[in-house]
Amino acid sequence: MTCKRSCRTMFSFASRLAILTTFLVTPARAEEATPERTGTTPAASTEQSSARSLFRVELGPTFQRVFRVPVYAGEIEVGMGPQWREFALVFTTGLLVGETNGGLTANRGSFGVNAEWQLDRVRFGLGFRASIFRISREYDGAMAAFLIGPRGSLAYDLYSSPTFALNAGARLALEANGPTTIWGPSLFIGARFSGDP
Amino acid sequence: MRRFNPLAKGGARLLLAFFVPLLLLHGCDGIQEDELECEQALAHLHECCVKRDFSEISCRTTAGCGSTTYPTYPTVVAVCIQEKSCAELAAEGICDRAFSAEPRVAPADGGGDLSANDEVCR
Repeated sequence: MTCKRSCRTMFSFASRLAILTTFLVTPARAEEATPERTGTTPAASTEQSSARSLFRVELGPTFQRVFRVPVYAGEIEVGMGPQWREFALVFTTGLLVGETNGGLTANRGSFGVNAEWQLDRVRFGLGFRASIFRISREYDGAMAAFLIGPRGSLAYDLYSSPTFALNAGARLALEANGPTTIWGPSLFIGARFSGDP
Repeated sequence: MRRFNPLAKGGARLLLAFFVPLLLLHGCDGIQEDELECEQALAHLHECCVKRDFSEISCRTTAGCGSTTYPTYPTVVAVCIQEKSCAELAAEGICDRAFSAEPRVAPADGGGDLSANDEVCR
């Protein structure tokens, strides 16, 4: 009711950004398909500019705070995107299921974009996420908010090969919309798959 | 040869196709702090005061024609209820007072007693 205008503005911003980033990814694929146009050999093209595909799944417990109220939950996040050497741009989507300390059911569906850097076994991530956070009422209906905010993550590769890695890490996110503020840390274990180098 | 390439299958577009309708279809009235605290208190009362039916208590803020209705338990009262044990809620008569609490209505032209339920929990 009171946030309709701001919701519309943020939705518009988020969808434009998502569409823009989607089309930013497309030229990399076109380049891979026609290396002769760049004047480089296929091998050189692969080495210098081609993006490998990345797919990852992360799963773990999370603690969120909605105003003063704590939410204990589990969260799964799936991400995919292009990866160039140690840098990756990952489009993520996630689902949180949990409850408040008073027993009200809480859910969150989210999507976002994350820029990630791999330094040896350590992986840093920085990005933003837009989400719909929903808390059920005690008797009927639910309260829901559309939120957007920054997030950062740090993960450590427990095992890694050229095409697969198993990691563990932590993530901190803050999301807000008007007076509604939700923030909190998450722990996760994850699996990351990369396309052939 | 590429064996794995989710982007080639339009993964990012799939992501958009999934979430854009979700956002369009979903309302977003927001989460208000006073409503959330009231619902938390209501959940605690529901758990502890088993002889009472609190389903008629409203924790919504609704703006109607000429008046606005606020959550039955103001934030201070709601937090107080949450901090009491089940035994304390019963022993101090909070279950009874919380059950009898009237909706808090503020007429647009002024008046209305929004502090009427402040004594439910002390």
